[in-house]
Amino acid sequence: MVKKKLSSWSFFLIIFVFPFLSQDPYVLNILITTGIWTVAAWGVRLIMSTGQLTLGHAAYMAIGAYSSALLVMKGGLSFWIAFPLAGIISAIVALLIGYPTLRIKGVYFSIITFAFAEIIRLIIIHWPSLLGGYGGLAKIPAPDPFLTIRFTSRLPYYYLLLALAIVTYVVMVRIDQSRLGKIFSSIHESDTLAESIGINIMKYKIIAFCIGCFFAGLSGSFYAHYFNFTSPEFFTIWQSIYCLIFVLVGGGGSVFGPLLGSFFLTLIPEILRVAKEYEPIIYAVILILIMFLLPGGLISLPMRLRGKKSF
Amino acid sequence: MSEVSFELEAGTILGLIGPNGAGKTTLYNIISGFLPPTSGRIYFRGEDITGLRPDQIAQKGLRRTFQTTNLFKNKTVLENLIIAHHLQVRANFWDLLINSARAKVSESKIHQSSLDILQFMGLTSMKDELAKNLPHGHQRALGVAIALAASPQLLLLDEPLTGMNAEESAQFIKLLRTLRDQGLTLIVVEHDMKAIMGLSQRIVVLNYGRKIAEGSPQEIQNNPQVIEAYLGSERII
Repeated sequence: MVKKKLSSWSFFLIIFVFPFLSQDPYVLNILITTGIWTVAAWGVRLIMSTGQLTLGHAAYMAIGAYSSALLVMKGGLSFWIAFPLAGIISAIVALLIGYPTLRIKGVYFSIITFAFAEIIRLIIIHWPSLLGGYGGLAKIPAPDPFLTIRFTSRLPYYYLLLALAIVTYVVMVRIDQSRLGKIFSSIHESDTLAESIGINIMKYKIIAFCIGCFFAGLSGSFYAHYFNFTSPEFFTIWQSIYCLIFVLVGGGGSVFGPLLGSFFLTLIPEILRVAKEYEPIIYAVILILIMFLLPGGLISLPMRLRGKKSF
Repeated sequence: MSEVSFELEAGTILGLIGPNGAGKTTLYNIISGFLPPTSGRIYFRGEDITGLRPDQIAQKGLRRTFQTTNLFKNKTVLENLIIAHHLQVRANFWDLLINSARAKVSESKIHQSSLDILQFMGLTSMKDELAKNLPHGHQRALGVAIALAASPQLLLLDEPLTGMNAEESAQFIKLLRTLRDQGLTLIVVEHDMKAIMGLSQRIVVLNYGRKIAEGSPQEIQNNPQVIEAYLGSERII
């Protein structure tokens, strides 16, 4: 347990000191992008911990990205207010979608999340006057200076995202260890038994869904203000499925899993220097290999190796 | 199901029997809120509970077990019990998340109560085992332990003796009697006729979704309709 904690914190430490060694903007950009998707993937993992499969997580990132951009550009709010509001707006939308769909058992929820994500994308495309349509929203301002730190280079973004990632990580670990997390996993293991001992399973599924989408909204808001641009092409079904793949490849058994998954899957194509078009093929191969050889995800690798040794 | 109506007295054990497919489990699902009845009402302690959700019915003090083994398989025996105390938690969402003092007091009480129930059910020695690794008889016992965790007033047991050997069964029946003597009311579905006749004060017999008889074990054993339901009519033989 202690060892596991140590390994995840040493990971964060490496990320923290990395810019002291290199400030290559290309590398920083990759790390920031990976971090954005990690935060979203943590939300997916939380929703999956209640046994629900979401196929439209990118839509809640889009809602976060667009609402935060509009709040700053049209509403004149500071980024530091729009950022948490973006998360809250995503969570409220999740509540409205989850309330009618999570009371029905079965695959309906997954189908609705998928359909809703497409609806959101179409709304963005067909409302150019407000949301910029296909072309997207450009000139989204950078965050206002934080104390004396100005967001003019990649570095402040890098540390802002690291802070967001650490906060998300701590919240997720806390939920896992708390009674709330135990309730989530018991619904996953047997929803009928959970109901029979008095757990209102719909309520807890909605709570998990809203928290997961809250963090999607935050990561979407960061995304928009980091690239100063947002477009419906950023938030398609592919991105939703990538979030899912990050969780499955890294392993949903621990909070560290999605982090490992998103880093592994972002770095592999970079190291192999393959064209962006071939990325889905590489992901597919890795996903299939993991599912056959390591169903617990990368996170279960050390345990598997240790287990093999003792035989 | 139709024309099924019966009452039961607090602090007694009611046996519910009938051939396979008679509707015993369906009746359980209706009483405990997993299936909505198309007509008719269910009253529990003078209160109409028809149409409530399973978790709301559990909250009223009516708990059930399942015919197939239904446990939180990847949790330990103790964790199963702790989760089962869900209704005793006196802490709100934020208490749970930040693990406040209120949540801690609540948790330590629940921990003690879980150990007490495990002791009572004879599961103390395996409290740190994963539920899926228990032998079948102990899994059944854990299923009942989970149902007991909310100190229910009425407990519906669905074939609790399945998979137990003679010695385990005898032990288990003794536990059920103790529970009844402590004031718990029980409905038991069971195929072991000898056990159910010895245990119950009253018996209700179902066949093809209808109640065909109700009475004391002696009355039921001599009821020709019941004998026919189980053995077929004499003429055919």
